[in-house]
Amino acid sequence: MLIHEMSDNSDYLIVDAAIYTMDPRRPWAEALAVREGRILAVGSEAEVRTAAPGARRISLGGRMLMPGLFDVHNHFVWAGRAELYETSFPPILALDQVLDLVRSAAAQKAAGEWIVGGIFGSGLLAEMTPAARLRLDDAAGGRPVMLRDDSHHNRWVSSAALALAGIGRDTPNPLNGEIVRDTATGEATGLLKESASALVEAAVGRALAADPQLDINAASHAVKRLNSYGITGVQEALTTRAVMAAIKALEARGELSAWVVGSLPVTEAPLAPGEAGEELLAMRDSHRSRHFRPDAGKIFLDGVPTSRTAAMLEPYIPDAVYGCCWRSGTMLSVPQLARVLADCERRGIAVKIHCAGDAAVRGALDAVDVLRSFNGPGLMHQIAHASFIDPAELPRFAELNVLADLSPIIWFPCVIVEAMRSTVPAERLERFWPNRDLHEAGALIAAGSDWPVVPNPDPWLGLQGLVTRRDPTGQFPGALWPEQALPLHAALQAYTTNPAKALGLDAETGSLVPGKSADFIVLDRQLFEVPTDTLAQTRVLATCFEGRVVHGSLS
Amino acid sequence: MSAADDRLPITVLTGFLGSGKTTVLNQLLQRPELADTAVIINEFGEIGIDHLLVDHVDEHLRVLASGCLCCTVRADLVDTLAELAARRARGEARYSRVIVETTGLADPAPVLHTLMADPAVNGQHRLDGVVTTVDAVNGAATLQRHAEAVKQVGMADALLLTKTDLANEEAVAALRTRLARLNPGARITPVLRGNVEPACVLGVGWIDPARAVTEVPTEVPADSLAAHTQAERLHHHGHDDHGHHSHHDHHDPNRHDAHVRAHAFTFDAPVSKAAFTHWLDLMAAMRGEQLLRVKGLVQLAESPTQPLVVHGVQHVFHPPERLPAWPSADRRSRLVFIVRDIDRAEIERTFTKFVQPLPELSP
Repeated sequence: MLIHEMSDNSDYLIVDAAIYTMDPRRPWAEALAVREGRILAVGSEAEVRTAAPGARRISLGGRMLMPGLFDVHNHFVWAGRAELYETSFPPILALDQVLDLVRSAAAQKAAGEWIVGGIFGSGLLAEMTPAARLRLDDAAGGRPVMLRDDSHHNRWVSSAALALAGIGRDTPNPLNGEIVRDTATGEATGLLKESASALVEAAVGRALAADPQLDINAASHAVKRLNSYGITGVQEALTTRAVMAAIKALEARGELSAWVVGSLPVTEAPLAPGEAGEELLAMRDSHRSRHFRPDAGKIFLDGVPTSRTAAMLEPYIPDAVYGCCWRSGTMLSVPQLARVLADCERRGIAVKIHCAGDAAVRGALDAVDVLRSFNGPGLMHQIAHASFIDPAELPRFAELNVLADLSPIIWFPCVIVEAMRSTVPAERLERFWPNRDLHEAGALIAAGSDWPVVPNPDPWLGLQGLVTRRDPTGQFPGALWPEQALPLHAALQAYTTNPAKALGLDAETGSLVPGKSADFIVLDRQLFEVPTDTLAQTRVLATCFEGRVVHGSLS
Repeated sequence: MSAADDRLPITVLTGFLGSGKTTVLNQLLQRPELADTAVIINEFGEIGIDHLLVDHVDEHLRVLASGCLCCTVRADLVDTLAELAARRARGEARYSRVIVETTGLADPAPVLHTLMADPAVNGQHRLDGVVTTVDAVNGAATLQRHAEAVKQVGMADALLLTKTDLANEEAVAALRTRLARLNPGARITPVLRGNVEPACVLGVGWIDPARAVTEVPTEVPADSLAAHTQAERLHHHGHDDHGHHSHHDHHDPNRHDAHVRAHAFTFDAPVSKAAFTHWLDLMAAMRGEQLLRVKGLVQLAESPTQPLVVHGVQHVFHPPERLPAWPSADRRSRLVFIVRDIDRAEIERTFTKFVQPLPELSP
């Protein structure tokens, strides 16, 4: 009802609300006034009424209202594809259960149509033998199948998919990737690691590109879903041509109901082969719009711990393939990364650097240190997945003006943490996500989901996890390094003001201050008055973006 | 190490169009000291060697009366050098050094990079030095108009000043000052009608223990030190008098050589090899385009009696080599940077941060 009423851009007042502004000068207020999508006034009911006399009055009956949330690491177009077109399952299924789902999916598909899905737990990697691939072929009725793992860095594919991806017995491993082969026969097992995944993703991409409407619908679906959780700001974390095109089309339809910062690969990205380069960078100007800012960059400095490709300071747990002392390494040296960052700063591009291992974190900070030493202060760059961090590096985030991107939502016991137990020594895994230490060292921290790497982008799960370090779903017992729990206010900053600052949107949004965009959410509970282990159940009753209700209702 | 280095030395001869490079080469090829030389040029026609020719081996290779081989660049320099080396190995060609003549309009950096860093080249060859001809009549104007000419001068180990008989003395003196400011490490030799002593061209300063030190100056003309800031401990030995009145043209931003400067450093404390080479890597990565030439001899903490030889052209540095011994009693480290738009302070600041803190340098 109110969506309709408000489409005329008229003034309105929100009154009788518990407004948590995220503005340190006035943390709480009871009313705010909105005019033409901007916040006109924040304060007492009398104050805001003076600012907008005669405006409609909407009473929230004492409910909590706060700024719209950010997700600083999100692949929402890919997530939309996954939800609309793919076979989704949780990463806790056994191989037989996965095959059963493929069989049901195949029943709905035409002959030869792709079955794309996920996510399987990395614990299944060892079972993905040539014999297992033949069972996959059988379940799919010979269709091409591509399944992603919980790290999203590896793929399991059927024989038909191998053929469509052009992978044969003699196909060489791509740089930073592996076509896993049977040790006896040399035959591809169907398991593709790291950049080898791109070979089959490209084949799926060719099928998708045949109908651009598919991606637009996926983006639309995903943005609506994010709005439903209260998210009104997103950093898209690997912005390819197809992703840019879909976001631009959504904006053109007037449906981009969130601020979106795009992160274009600036070096060859294992998950987006052939995308990085001048042609992509040149697309920035033609795709930039009011709500879409394709002005960030993305670099992968290492892989992921579950496939032993994250660059670690201490060795992984010994195994037959990698031996006793495997630490992996970074994809760029410190001088190389420093140079890329310098080139990006010259173009006004702040870079999100994927660093899953502590050696990669150190390398990235070293490179930013070089950058600052030569070129002086510059843009705020980001270390994504800032989770394994040597204590010596903690103060450097603030010193070097680097954001700690806390994503994905795995800072509590969960399936990905469990999968890491087979690769990362237990004593190291106990020091995963030093969020509180980062915060206390003055680092700017911002939260993200890495959706669809985690199947649910719900920020309230993440928020509870940040303050409890326990699994909000209750599936996994215990706590992960509970000393690193954040105070609620700091966790809320990681979802609002901090990401707004890191993304250069702090003049626009992130807190409820007159002049900023009216991006706010109404909650079903007062976050500071409920037990912390119920934060994840928070329901967003209304999400307003530029003053317009884009989810739920204000009445 | 260099003392045992039996790789064939390569001299690069460059210089702007019309600067007399071909005349110099033509004269050199008639000298007995160069009888054992293979020359690689772009076109036979450019150099006019027909009167020297005694044997026509194939369309790309000729033998001159002096014994010199003369060949044209085929697919590229690497292939040409490989082919020459193969002929030499088969006993079909005899030579013990190589001269590469570059085209006059070219930036010499790509050729130098190939000779310094291409493994197909530097297994059997080593870059001996870069010799640049500068025309005394037109040199000043050329430097003003052509960035390539400034690079040719900046990257040189030796400068040959040609046609001095056709220019007035004042102009020659002014040009010499300008060249010394652009590249204080290069010896300037006047040359008439191409007559130059082979010693001015061969062995002029790459990995040559006898000359390395003399080619890295401890003094730099005042003109080269525009706006230098004296770090207290990383002290240099330049003059402190800027003499602004004497070179007002120095600040004309439209002049190609107005942006090129030399910064020289001398310091006593030995440095960690890992830290020092890391810093060079960072300089190459962050400022490669602006480094015309970097030369130096550096005392390492790990081997204080065997100095590290530093040679870089833009982002490419010669693989680090150590001399078996210091060439003289002076064991101070010395570095010369010939740069475009890099302040002395930046070199000092990054050296201090990545190599060693200032307090560890001797006062």
